[in-house]
Amino acid sequence: MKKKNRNVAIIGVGQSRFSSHREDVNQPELIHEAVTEALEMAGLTVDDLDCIVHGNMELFEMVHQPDLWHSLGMGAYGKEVLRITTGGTTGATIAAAADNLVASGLHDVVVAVGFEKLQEGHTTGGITNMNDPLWGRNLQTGALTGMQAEIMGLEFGPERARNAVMHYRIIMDKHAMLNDKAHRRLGLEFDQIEALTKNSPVLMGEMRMIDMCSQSDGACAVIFASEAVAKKHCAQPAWIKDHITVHREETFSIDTSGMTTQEMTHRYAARKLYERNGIKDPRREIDVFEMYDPSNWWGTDWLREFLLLEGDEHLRMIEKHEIAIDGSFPVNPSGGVIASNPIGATALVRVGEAALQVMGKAGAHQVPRPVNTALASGFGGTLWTVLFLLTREVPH
Amino acid sequence: MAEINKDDCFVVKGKLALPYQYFAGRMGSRFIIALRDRKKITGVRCERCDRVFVPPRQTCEGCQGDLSEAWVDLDDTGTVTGFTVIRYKEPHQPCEPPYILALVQLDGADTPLVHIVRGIEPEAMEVGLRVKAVFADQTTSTIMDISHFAPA
Amino acid sequence: MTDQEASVKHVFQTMESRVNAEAAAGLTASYGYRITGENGGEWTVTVKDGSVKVIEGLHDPQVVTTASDQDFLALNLGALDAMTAFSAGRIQVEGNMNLLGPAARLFKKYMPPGMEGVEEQREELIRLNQILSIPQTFSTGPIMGKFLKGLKDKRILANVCPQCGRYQVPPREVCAMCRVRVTEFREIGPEGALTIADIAYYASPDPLTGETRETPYAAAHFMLDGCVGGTFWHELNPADIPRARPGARVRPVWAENRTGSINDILHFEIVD
Repeated sequence: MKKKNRNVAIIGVGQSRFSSHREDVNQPELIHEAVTEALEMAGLTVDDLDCIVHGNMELFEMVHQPDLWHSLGMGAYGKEVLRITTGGTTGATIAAAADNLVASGLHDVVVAVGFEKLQEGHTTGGITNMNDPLWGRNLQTGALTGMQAEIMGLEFGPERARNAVMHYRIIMDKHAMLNDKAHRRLGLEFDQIEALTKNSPVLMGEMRMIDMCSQSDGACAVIFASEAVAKKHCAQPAWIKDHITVHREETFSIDTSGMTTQEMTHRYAARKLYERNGIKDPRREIDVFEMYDPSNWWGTDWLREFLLLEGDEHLRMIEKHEIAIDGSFPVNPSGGVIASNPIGATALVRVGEAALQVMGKAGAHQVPRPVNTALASGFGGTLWTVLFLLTREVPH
Repeated sequence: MAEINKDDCFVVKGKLALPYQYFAGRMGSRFIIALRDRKKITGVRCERCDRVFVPPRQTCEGCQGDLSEAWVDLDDTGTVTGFTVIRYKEPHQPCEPPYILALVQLDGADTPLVHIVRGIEPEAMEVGLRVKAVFADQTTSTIMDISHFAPA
Repeated sequence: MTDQEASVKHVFQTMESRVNAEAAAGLTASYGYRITGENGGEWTVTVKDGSVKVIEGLHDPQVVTTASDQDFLALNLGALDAMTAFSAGRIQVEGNMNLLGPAARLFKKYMPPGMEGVEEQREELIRLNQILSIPQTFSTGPIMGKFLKGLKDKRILANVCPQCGRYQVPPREVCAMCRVRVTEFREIGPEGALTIADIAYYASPDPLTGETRETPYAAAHFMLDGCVGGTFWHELNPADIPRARPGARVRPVWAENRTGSINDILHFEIVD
């Protein structure tokens, strides 16, 4: 098992209100909302911050190096600032960096700041731009794809697949209704499944608008502290037990020859994380999972990958509502990415929300049972997966 | 077909073209509207640090105090604290080169703002020059509602 | 509902006086509204030559929006967000949805009777709209360059890993799995079979041109004859979308004027 140099905990989480109507603030002002809230929860001031790790998707708002401008809102004046951008998974990568910085002994208090102001840019155009200009750019449509729906339809039959993902969708919306920071809170009910499916416009293949995440403006700030600082300032910190990053960009094609091992990064990351932390039965040993789910198709499929399941076990979990906030394996009590997706912040929000659950500070969307172990995932472009394991007990 | 041939390399012309929008926010909007409608340059004053910021911002970077209602009006006159002369041509520039880009610290302000200086030859330009704002006749709801600064 | 209160009828009655000239300029479209409920009705809004006409009834509109009287009024009073209502199935749209975008700012905000002057007192928030267009050049390098030159000659080239024997198309400098240099090129296809098609109904701007593509289009994966390993990602002829199924035989359609670009293949079409 991996042993860290020293323990690190999350002691403060701040989020701005996520919305598509934040014309009242410019970018630093939006970030300031999140940073202020995080500091308040941690009982710290800007002077207590040693270092700021900043991230968002590069050029999405058509502004280069926005960390320089954002220093106005981050309390970065006169401090060390690092900027990291890894696509959709940026938020989780900055969390990993903040954890590493504190674990190393270099700093005692580091704040990770993730943000995005998607109303100011063009999301799909921006994502498409990551593609090879000589080959794929004219084919890609941002992060939208109907292939997952197609593949699941072939495996389980289109009706069952569609029904399962709609249950997933509505459960996520019910969770979002409990989270006043969430962007989209639609008030959906299960008897609307047929009408919603029929009326929602198709985007790509069988993927419809109702299946996709939102495009939000928002910022998130999470404060990472050393054991000494955490114990001094926080009654119940969320300890970072472990994190892992896996990505693969070897192939961008469908390999039907079986010559490449196409194990999903999710499954690989989960396997490694569980192995090195002695987790034999994740479904029972993990109390809550904040999963990065850009669409209900992916959220459903990845449940199988993250829990190392086979067959249709994941569909049955969803059909029986085991992933609901009061179920046996709650997923995204915050409403997840489908409810709010300010891309640069989103993966950080997963870590932050998992931490809130461990700290007991998730308010109306707190899972109604003790949270000893929480899992959070980030996901981005090249099947990049980051997994975080947070615990109530101090790791030793 | 086994070798790698440098003659196979070539260059493709393309571009990156994406639409975007920028929100000035409440603070930024008030600043621009004052320039546009009242021909007035405004800033904010942090009482605790005794500093006046122009252009205004919501938070004092020193003490993190909230400045959203701490507005002050400033005079149109100030001093050049630094400058550079732009001599090359690029499509995104606001005017034909050569032109002078200067840091202008308005009387009463603690931070300079960047703008164009006209009405003086680049060779005669110097730090310490006293300048005055000239407002635009045709406004665009941007910083160019100040057309430029001229020697006072 | 008295004349002094906000109503669906009043929203339509005041529309022509609330037109934003800038938004109406250059727009030619007709919008239908089917408002259900006691206080509902049907209206058609026609925009042409910078002027807007609102008439009762549905008269061949290009797009029809259906909503309840309560929801429609709430939308206009700013109490209900359009995207939320649409996603939750409370608004339905039939016809050419792309026309809705340009109409978003067609009218100034609706004010209930007696409150028309209030608008001016609301805070103005400045937003700047721009298109950033940066010229760029891309170097192909020798491997991609060889592949693109092959397309000019109507040949599709893959390269083969000396270790695992896998083909990569487009060719890459190293085998992505074995991490060894790949130097041998082989011609594949040009015919093959469709593996999976991703049909796009939602248009988004192409960053290389700034233009929006026509939909539907299909980005698809093709297993070309002779290729062992991965598929070739390109486009399926939009006209063949209804016939697309895994295993369908396909062949490339070449552009007449070929320059050494991926677009030298216009698309693949299904072979009967």
